[in-house]
Amino acid sequence: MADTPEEIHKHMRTYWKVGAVLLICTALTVIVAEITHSITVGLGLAAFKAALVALIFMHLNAERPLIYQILAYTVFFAIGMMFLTVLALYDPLVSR
Amino acid sequence: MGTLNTVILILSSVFVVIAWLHLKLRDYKKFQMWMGAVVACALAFLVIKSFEYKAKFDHYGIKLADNSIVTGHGLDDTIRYEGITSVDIDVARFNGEFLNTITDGSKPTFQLLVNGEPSGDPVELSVRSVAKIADDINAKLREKADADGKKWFPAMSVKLVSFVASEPFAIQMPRKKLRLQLPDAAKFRDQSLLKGTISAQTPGVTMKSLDLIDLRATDSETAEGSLVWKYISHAEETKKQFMEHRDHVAQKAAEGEEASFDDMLSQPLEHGEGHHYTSIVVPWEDARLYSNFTPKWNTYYALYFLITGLHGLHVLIGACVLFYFGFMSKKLWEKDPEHLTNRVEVAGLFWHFVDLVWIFLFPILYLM
Repeated sequence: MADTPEEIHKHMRTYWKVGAVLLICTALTVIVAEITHSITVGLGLAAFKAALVALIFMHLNAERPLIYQILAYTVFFAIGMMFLTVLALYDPLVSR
Repeated sequence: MGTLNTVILILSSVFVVIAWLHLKLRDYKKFQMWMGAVVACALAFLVIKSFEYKAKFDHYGIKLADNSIVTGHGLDDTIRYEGITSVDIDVARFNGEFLNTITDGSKPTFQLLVNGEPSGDPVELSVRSVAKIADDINAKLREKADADGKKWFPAMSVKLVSFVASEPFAIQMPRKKLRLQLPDAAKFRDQSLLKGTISAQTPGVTMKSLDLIDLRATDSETAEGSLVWKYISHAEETKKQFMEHRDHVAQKAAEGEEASFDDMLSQPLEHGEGHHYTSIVVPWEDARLYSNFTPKWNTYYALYFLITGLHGLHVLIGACVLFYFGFMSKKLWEKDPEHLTNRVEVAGLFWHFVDLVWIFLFPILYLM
């Protein structure tokens, strides 16, 4: 990341804009949840927001390929963990 | 409240990068200002969260014997036993708890039961006096063992002593304090067993104002047969409204309109202006489970408190770290500003991740 004052001020404007987009997305999530209880839409919006935070606030967009490779593995396991909840379907208390 | 907290965390996430950029511009005053805003946001988040928790702690549910569920506020599980004269005490575990639940200002004295007959002087029970009585009995047992030529082992000492009260007394406490609640006896956590009858004043667990009746899981043949209607106040009127709404939803479904099963059998109760509060008294034997909205009540609250609790802990820790960098690192700033800038950037990464996790938690826990 370049460190000239002009560059920094430019970044600052970007961050404010991203913040605004995040807030708009939050409002959108709430409104959508009122209309439809779709888990896909809710999580889709959340994924978009999370991507914004990770890429811009956490400067992932300026990272080296190695970081991306490691991240890919963690994402794989994180999503895999979500599927553990499927086991609940085989819960003897729930399934008869 | 969840939405407000999401907004607060997003703002704090923006503030932390702005603070960091001001540090890069070597503007310490503005850096501190934005860091202050971040910490304030974190504290606001935690305060709002605590209100959210409190609301759940004050919200109760009762699951009846037929799995019908009611929820609401103002739960009271005070139980009163009367006419108690007989007390069995486990000498190793006795902690005197039941003595504190004796009501009506009576202070009964007790006589030891030996072979079913009261014997000795009446004593006031306490942890110490019970221990002394047990010691006396053990000394006698030991003497007897010695006289019989048997070896004495501690396992041969007395385990249970029974007492009879000078006059019948009453105890009163939250039902939760009891280990076991029987129609004719109360057992405390220290195994003290008191024989008496449940007072007519406390026929069951009561709830002052119901806000939901949920008959989705009821074992009764029909919703009309649910135990709820037996124990609720304004039963006829409430039942009529409930069934009318159910039939209305069923009608809609029959006509091919969108309608949900949840809507049919799980209905909020209206109260407030022009409405009365609906209350319920569930007899002890028909209250299968009652609790406030904590992990004991259902899996949702178990997950809710686990996840938000751990997240809140991370918010607290992050706030402490950012506070330290923002307001207690002046020396490092004067020595090596780049070093502090780096630290703030890394702490910022942690903070963004806490925000990122919340972005997912918000729709999952609050909106769906």
